[in-house]
Amino acid sequence: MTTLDNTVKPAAVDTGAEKQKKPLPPELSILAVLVGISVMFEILGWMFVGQSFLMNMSRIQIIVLQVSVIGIIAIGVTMVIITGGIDLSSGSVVAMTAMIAATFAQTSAWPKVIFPTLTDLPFVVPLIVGLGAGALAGFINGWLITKTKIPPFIATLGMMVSARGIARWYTDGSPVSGFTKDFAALGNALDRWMPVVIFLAVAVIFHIVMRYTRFGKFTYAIGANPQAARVSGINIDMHLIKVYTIAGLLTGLAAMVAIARIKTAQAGMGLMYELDAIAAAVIGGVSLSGGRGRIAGTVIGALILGVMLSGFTFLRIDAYYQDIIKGAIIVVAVIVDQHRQGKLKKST
Amino acid sequence: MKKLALTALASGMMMSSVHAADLTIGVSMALFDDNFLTTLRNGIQSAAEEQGVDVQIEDAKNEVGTQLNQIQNFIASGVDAIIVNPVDTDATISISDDAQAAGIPLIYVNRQPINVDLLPDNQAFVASDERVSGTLQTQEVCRLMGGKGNVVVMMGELTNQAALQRTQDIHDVIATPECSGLKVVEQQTGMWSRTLGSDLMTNWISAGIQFDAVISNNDEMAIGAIQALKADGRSMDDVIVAGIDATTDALAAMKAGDLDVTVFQSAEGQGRGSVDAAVKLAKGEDVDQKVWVPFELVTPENLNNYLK
Amino acid sequence: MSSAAVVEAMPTSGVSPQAQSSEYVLEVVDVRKEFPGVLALDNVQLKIRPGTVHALMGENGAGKSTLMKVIAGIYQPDQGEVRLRGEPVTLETPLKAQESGVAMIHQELLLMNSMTVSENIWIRREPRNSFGLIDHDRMRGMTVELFDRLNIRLNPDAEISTLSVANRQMVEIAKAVSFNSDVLIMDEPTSAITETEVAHLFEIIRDLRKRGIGIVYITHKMNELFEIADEFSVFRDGKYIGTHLSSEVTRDDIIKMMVGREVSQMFPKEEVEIGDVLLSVKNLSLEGVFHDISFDVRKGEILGLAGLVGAGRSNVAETIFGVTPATSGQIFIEGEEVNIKNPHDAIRQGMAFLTEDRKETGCFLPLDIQENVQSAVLHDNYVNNGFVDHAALEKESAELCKKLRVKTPSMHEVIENLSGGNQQKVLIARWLLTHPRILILDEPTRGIDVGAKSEIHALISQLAHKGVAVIMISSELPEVLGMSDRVLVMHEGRCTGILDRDEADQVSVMSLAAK
Repeated sequence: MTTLDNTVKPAAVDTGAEKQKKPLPPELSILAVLVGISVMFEILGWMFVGQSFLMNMSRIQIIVLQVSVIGIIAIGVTMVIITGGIDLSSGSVVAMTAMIAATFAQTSAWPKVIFPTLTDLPFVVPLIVGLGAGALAGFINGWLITKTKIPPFIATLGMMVSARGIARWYTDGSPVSGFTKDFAALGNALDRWMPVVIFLAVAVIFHIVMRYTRFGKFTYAIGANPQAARVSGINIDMHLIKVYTIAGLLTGLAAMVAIARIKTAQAGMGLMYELDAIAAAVIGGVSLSGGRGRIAGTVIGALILGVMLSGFTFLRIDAYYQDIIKGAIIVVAVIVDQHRQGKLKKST
Repeated sequence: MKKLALTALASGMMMSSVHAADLTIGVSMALFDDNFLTTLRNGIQSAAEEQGVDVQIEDAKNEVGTQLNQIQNFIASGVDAIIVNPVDTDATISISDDAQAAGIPLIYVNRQPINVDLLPDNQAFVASDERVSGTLQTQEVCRLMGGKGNVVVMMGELTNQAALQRTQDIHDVIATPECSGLKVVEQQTGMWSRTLGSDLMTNWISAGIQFDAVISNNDEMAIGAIQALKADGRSMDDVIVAGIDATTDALAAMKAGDLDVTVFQSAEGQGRGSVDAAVKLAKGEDVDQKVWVPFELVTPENLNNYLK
Repeated sequence: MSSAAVVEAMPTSGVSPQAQSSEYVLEVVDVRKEFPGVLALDNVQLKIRPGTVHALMGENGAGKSTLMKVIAGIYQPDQGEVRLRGEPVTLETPLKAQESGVAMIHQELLLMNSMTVSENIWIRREPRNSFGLIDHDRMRGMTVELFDRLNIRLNPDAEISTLSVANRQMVEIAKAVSFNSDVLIMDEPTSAITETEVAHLFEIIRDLRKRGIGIVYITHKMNELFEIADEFSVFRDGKYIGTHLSSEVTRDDIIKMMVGREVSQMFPKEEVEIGDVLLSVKNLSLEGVFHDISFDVRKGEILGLAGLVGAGRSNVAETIFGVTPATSGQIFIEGEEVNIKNPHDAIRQGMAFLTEDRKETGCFLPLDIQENVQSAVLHDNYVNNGFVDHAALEKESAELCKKLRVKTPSMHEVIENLSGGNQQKVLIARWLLTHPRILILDEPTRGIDVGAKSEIHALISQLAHKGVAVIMISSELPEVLGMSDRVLVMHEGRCTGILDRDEADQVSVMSLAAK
């Protein structure tokens, strides 16, 4: 009597799969890292600084606040990486959209107004301009990648250089400041929690999009196996253009939050943001080979960066060491990620 | 309230902690990779050591957002004072607001914040007064020329505040009665650069412009001018050349007898001055809201004080 | 065994009323497909009845894969038509084919590895709730229901990457069934799974057959044909040979239909004096790939390695050369045991290996001929104190290329610009520069025009004449038979026989290869 149970091959794999009906979400391990690092700073804090690291509301606020901008970018970058691509242009696009939008956000009371006829506009005008400019940059990235078939690395590298150039050219390098109160509220309202609220809202929306919509499934499918995705009838080119456009749009949004918070826009801003965003995604378990990763992981990844940044200052670690340690942590995160993937492969 | 409790707790722990300093100052530098700012940073470091103050120096890497984050981290860590070398002098309003809200003294150093005239009581600006450098320079040139003669002016980048200010100073000095015999015959930009300064001078020479002195907004352009003059066979004894910054190259040129005047801006002095101001404010003492670290005129007579 | 799989026909069975009126669910009529330089399909026919398993048989290159890709909407025929349920159809894309009821299970299994079983099956067709969001619970339910119908036991939430190949195949089958397909194409589905898994697969295939699905089953394995197929069609060189009931023929009949051509006399096999044993392989195994391979090769001997694609011939060659070291067994050279852990060891022992895939593992495409030739000797000879002796290298490689009659304007031509035959000669030159004692050739003449082929054959003979021991893998039976002194035949990772030159012919080799 042959039953199906023993004709289906390896018992180990199948029962293994059966047992973990609800497998632990992979974010838990990253969350553990976040908690671990925080506790480490807490202990070191008491040992060397004589202060609590975590029991300090203003520090908690700053930790989240300072990763909000990177976090918003990282959400778009996460989607791009899940498709198997990369976006190197985020930092420069922040500068470009910031410069352009800032000139529509100035008050007439400011002495150095760029467009004297375009002052005191409602805050939605610069916001829409900024989002639009970001989306356009993303669209161009996506269009180049799908229509000319150049690798995402090259397409977005080109955008990285050009967008920075536009940012400098737009006002001949001079900074733009003196924003309307309404616009500045984007970065300061709610007792300065506004950037955090925007970040979390974006995170929740895209968590739902990636998990519960076809858009999300297609994004994973393309990254997991483009050939299979094509055979399944997914219009890969169209979808990639959408993903890169959204990534650009979110970068534009991040730029708006950033300049509203610091109340000035500079052509040099956003330097290395793309790398921080990619780092947040990678630390959060997003696989650079595509097809794997979650928004929640990226959010935690961004928080880890924030805790590290804040913790270094808190422990008065020399500025030179900070980058060295940060770089090491990013590399370790990728090693762990590959190890995890290696395990998955072995179990087949 | 909570802050007080924490501070009390913290001071309790201090006994066992490594540092025994009374005060902690957070410093956010616009950029580490800059010669002038590195000298300034070293000034801060050595002044802090002498005064027994702890400093935590961060590199904002020329990024406004990063600088704001660093300052907020300092505030959260409860430092006693903050020194900021602003990345963007337009972004200082937020910084001032944050520090004021936390009740922490704040010192801007070297770069003039846009809100310099609106700073609250426990905030100050430490720098060298930009209006002084061009004035010192031109007054010395005027003295060397005996109050009369033709002058050419080499300006820095026209979008730059320092270039405009230094050029204005030149004209202000010439407008004074003692120097009214001076006449500016040519005035153009050399973009701060040695090469362009040299090209500019070559153009003037070939155009047959007659002059007795070159007043340059910085040393690099002045050195460029010297190179062009020498190439033309002019004796450097016949022409007075003046720069600003007292760079190593400029001091060498002065030693060689080519450069007659330059002006030293003391980066170290600014760094030290900012620590002094910060410590005073942290202790509740009064400080001028604009602390000027004097420019120093460098001429062949006192050159040896600056050569290292 | 099949009694376990009696299941009622699906309520939504894909058998449409038309299918009942037409005798065939799928008909391929006079389809012709030409690729540059190759006539892949020459007016072929194929007729599939609903509720039958129809095997496609033929040697490598007979045109089976091309035909399937035409049916699955991947290729468009140049001439002729495809009819579904009696109606002519145009299948522009795989998606169109899928929606028309033709599903294909690719040999390489096109699944998204990092996604779950459910997500893979229902991609683009996910059930959505009233908010327009994907209803994962319902999707899981649909998967469970589908699996129940097919007697598949798999966790719908398992990630594909955690499944065995056999289970991935089940997912593909379930996905195909979920489209209510009338025609299911399976491309060598048993090539990578174990025997027990094959048994389960066959149960599912029989079950699908009961539901009236027409199954096109491509295989190289004769025993499978008799076990599972009702009918079969044979193809040879892009031509349709014929269709028969599998119950009416013997395996010899089928082999004759598949081979059916004269061995040409283009192989200039020289009579060479065979010397002592040079290379000796004893009980060589690579776990899960091949087992217990033993053979000797003598100086001046050409040993042919025959077998169907996937029999493990290339793996044996790679193992001997140290690309994938053996898990057990021994290798002797001139009677002494050698330990070969990597290709460098093999080269030091005087081995050379011309790999199967010129473009992937042979040529450095962007580099010129000179650089391609010298790449295998850069670590030993021709290097003095770390400096490459360019003069000597260039002289010798130029002489070699001249001798091999590589057609090129200069030694600095980029290899990508050469024809396949000339590329192959350059690669042979590369290995000759190492002065090998043992030369392993994997498909040395694949994709090469006839003229260049015979030149390469002549070259191999000359090398044997000089005392080199040659191992030659080829899927072209005439080549193996024409060139070899002895032929080792492999089937599913095992040696099924070693034939001497006079006892080796197409029928004897094929019957060992397709056991």
